[in-house]
Amino acid sequence: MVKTTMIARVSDALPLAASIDDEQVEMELKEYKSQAKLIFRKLNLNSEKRCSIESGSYVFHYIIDHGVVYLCICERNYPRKLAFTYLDDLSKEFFMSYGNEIDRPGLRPYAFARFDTFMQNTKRMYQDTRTQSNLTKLHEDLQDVTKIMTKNMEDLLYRGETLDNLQGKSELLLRDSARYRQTARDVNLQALYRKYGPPAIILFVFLLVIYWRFWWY
Amino acid sequence: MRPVGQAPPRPGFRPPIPQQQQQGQLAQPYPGQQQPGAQQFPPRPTPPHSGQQQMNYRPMGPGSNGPRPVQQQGTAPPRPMQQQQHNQDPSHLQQQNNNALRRPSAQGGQGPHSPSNQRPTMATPPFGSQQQHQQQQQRPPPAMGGGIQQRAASPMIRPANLPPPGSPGMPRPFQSPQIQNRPPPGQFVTQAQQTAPGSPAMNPMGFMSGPPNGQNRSQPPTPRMQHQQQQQQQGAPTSQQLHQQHQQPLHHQQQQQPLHQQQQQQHPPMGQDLGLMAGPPTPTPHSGAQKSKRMYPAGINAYTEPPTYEATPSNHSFQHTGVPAPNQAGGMQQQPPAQGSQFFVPGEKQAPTFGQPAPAYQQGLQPLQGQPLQPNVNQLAGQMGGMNLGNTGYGGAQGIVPISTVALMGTAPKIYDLDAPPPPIRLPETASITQSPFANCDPSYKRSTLNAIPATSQLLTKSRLPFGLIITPYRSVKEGDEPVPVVSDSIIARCRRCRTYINPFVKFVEGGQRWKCNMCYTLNEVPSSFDYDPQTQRPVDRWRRKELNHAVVEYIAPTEYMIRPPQPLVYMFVIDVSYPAVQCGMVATAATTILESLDRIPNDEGRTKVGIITVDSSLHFYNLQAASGEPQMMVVSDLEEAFLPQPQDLLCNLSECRPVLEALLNRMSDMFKDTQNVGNALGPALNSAYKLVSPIGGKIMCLQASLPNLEAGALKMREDPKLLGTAKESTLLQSASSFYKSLAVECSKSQVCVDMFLFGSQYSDVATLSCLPRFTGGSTFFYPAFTAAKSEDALKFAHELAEFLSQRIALEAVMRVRASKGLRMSAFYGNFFVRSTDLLSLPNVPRDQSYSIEVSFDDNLSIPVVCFQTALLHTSSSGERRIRVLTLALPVTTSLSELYASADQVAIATLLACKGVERGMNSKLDDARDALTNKVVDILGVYKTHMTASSSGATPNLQICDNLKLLPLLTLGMLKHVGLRGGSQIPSDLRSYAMHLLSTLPSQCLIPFLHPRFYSLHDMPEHCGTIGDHGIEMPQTMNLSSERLSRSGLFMLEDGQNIFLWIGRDAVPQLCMDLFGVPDYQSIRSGKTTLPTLEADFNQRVNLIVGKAREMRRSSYYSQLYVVKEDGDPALRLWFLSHLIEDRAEPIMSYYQYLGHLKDRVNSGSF
Repeated sequence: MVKTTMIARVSDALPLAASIDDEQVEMELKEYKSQAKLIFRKLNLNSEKRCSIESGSYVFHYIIDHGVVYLCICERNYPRKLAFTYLDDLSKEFFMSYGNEIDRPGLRPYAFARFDTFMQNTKRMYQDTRTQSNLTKLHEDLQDVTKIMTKNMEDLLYRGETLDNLQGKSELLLRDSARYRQTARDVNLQALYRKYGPPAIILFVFLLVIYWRFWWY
Repeated sequence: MRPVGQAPPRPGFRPPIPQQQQQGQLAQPYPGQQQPGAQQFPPRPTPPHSGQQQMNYRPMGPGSNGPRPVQQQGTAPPRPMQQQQHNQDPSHLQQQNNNALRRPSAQGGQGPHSPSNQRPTMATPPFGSQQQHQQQQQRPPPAMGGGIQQRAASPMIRPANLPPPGSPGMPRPFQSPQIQNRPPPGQFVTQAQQTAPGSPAMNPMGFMSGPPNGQNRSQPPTPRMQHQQQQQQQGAPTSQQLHQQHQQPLHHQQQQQPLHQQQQQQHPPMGQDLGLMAGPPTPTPHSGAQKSKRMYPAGINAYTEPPTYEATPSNHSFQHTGVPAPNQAGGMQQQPPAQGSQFFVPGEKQAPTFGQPAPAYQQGLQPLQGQPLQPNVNQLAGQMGGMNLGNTGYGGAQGIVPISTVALMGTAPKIYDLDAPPPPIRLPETASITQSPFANCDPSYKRSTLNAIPATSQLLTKSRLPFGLIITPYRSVKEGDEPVPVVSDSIIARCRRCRTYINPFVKFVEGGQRWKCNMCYTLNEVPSSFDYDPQTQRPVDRWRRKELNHAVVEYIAPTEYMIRPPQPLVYMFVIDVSYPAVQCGMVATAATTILESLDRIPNDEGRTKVGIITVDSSLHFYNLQAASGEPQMMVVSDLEEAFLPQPQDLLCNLSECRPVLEALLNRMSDMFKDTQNVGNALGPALNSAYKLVSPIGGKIMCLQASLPNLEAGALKMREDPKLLGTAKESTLLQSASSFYKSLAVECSKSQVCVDMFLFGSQYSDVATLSCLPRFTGGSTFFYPAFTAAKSEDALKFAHELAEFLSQRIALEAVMRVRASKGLRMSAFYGNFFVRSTDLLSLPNVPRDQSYSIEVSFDDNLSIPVVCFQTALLHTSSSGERRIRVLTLALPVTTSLSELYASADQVAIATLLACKGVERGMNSKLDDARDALTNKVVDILGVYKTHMTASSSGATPNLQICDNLKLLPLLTLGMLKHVGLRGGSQIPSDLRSYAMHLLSTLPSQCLIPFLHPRFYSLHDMPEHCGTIGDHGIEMPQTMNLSSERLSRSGLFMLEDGQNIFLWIGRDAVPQLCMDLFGVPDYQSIRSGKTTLPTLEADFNQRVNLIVGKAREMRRSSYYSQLYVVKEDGDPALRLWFLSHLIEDRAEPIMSYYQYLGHLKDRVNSGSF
């Protein structure tokens, strides 16, 4: 079943509304909620519009619609199809009610907390997977869930870190190669000296002797 | 330089004093308003006047403007660039200043005053320049003309309302040294100095009529000045002609001179700042001697003083006045800021919020104007100096606070002063960066028992005065009150170390880039959004920000201040429906009232949730979301493990379930009318309600008319008349069951608040049940002997419940009080739960509840101003997370007399009441009373010993300072109050309730509660009871003494909870007819009454007065009206008479006896 729902603005991850959960859920989901906030921060307008992210025993489903991200945390066995239908319902209603206010500057956090009422009611409709209406929804091909990408929370969380690592390594490489180049040039130069040095000196002495001779005579 | 006056003061804050307006017109704020080329100069505002004009928001009179400029300079933020420039420009600038200022005799004096931080390369130019200067001086006219034109053309010259361009060597940074060293600036100086002694030479110019102001006169012309005068006589005529030939801009220049001159004269007092900053003007005799030897031609030496004179006399002469810095230095310091602000006329046009600091700050914003930046250094210096000044002798700077001693005995207490405002807070002028009248906290929000804070804990101990704060953070805002300004852009600047919110008492430093916390003195970055609005992409004026102008502000909190979305309002009613409750009509009245108040419950966002549980020997839950539209009742009789049937539906949205809820409330009185059930399981009901509400948090309103007697939380009838009046009485005032305490802690954790409405025909154990509200930030209401059959009872309850439901309360709040380093909050009184050492957790914040906090010393204070900041993070009832910040700044004093003169008796009484209640509950009532009396004896004794002539030995009278003269009376009021009075007549319920009120009422309501208002109605003047200029006119209050009662009179006494109408037995029938509509005295019914509304004028007036008495304070209590007949019900009569606290009431003394007792204790030295 849907444990909790959060709605945020994509552009700045400003929370717009969230369901108010009872204490038990609150305790269970503490960690996951902070993960959800992390996801909000990572999302941008170019992110995938629909996605499921697995994390522990829960799955995050989110959709992005009109610059607003709707995210719900569900148990793993909750049908994805239902979850996305639920999010679709929310997004339609939310956009209808508050669509023109979303981009208002100076919006305070949780400005649309009153959307909670609707969320609670909708959530209740989707609570039981075996009710007739939900079964119908499951069987109808409203949602092409197969195309929705599934990611892993770990990947999502640690991807940034690996990228950082990669960058660090490449920088290291760059520095190293520059140093190698310098060293190589030095070595080449030394080799050159060693090869042509003595003859050049001899030649020079010789020329000097010749020059002296002309000077004296 | 005082930028305040330059900018036209904002209309909102300018007191409409005609004189000032006139000056404003004269001041001609902008150049455009001045006639170009006008030969007749408009009379310039003389300096003191301009000072006055600038001082719109200052408490002090104009006479004190001497030292102010410096201090204000201090407030102006210096700029970061200044250091750099300071090193470059000032070499010329200062050198030039020196030249200019003392040209005639300057030879020796330069060395001493050249800034010690000059770069070594600077050492050379002065010589040349000075020489050049000297030469030019001998042929002044042409050079001066050039110079003046130069000045006139320069964009710096601004109209005269600007602060005077300072002085002498008004430096133009981008000019070549040659230009700078031309005489004209010097010429001005000499003029200025010449006029200073009152020379008539200025008069032809039309600047000043009459002698300059007192400060000018006070400084006798020095020999040096005489020289200047002589010289001026030679050179001036030409220069003046020249001046007059010049056109308009020049006029400005000339007009500015009086100002400028005055400012120069003002320097001596402020020079101290410079001295403190830069060290004493260290004469460098080496360089000075060198210079004088080398440079000066003999001819000039002829009329210079010997170098020694020049080097030292200025020091000497000023050391006389205790000011280390020389005049010249002051001049330099004074002048550049003025110049600076000249540059920024555009900025001024934006009318900086509260004037004064803004221009200086805008200076800082536009550093490219090429103005010398040195002023800012000096501003900083001024700031430092100002602090030190305040520190060393704040009292001295402000003048010793007058303390008037009054004798207490032999006169009736002057009770009018109960309503007097607290003693003024005498902050130094520059304490607040904006001169806003709202910069300090209003006493109705927060007041301190001492309006001047002792510098050391020893001083506090010595004075024996209690030190604490009375905070009413969420007081209601009635019509006419200023609403709390809201900062809505969620920019919250806080100190990164002590987390103090930015407030009007911080200082901006480094050109306004940083602010210095006024609690811990950490430097913090100023958020860039203070000056620039990223949304509109425009610069904004930071001085308009509300948090810099108001001591009470609310921020809209950003996400960081939320751990979850703001909770909706939740009202859970737990209604007792056992036999006694139904019988007394409570259930029916409550149901009707709730039904009628449904519209008034705050429901801005449509999220408010409501639920109802009724309880007798079983729990009844109601499904309010039933599809049928009918409420569905579910009975749970298993009390041991009460479960919640259909937990989803028991608490539902008010807007959605409204019809079902209305149906339920309509039926409720009928549902239980035949019940015979006398059981009440309040404990399980509260547990269930807690389970329902705790996920969200909210309010549980408990209406209880019988003693809970089942399962957990069952209470016994424990009132024992034998215990009353003995030392064991306080056990009755303590909680009987730990269940309620532990539940209260649980509730507090999950943001649940419990309010108790207690109705008792018998004992209802207020002491135990009021535990829940005490720890969850709730309120207790108690209706002894309630019967709805009496319409007055029903009306009172209905009114209070409806008010309570419609209150816009705050939710899930935490409150913390921060204070300047060295002070610590040590004890807390009120309804809350202390979570960590100083974090008060308030699941709900009702309106008009007061919290008292005792403050103690950690360390001695070495700062001039102490700040207390209360931050209340809460969710408003409209679902916004907000932070309400209250900032109170108080001066620090080292003098005992000032400490006494600034003590606030009302706040002290409030704090003492809280402490007394605490003591009475935890130990014995006797102890509490003794402690109160001892405190007063201590205070009187210390006052006698240290503040009056008769320090030891017996004195015939008690003496105390004027502002504490009512403290003995208020203490007596406490001793005689139901909450603390001795005797065995007072039921513990009443006492507990009175104690609850004593510790939660705000001062405004507490003082009448301790000392009721007493009016004589039968002989009140005609205008009383009619609607006058300030609402309904009330009669004069009288002393609470029965000697005021007369046998034929009608008197009213009200204490905010009850109103008594006392009618004498010889009342004339006409009065009975007019007021009560009955023919004679015998027919008047005593007891709880509602006054009839009659045609008679007297009846209408008394009705208005009663109505006013019920509404004139910020509280949701509705006073019950009792009619007391002189020979009526003895209990009622006694109750009425017990309010007359100046009388003797066994076993407690009368006021005069009490004073005598105090005097004996004081004289015997037993304090």
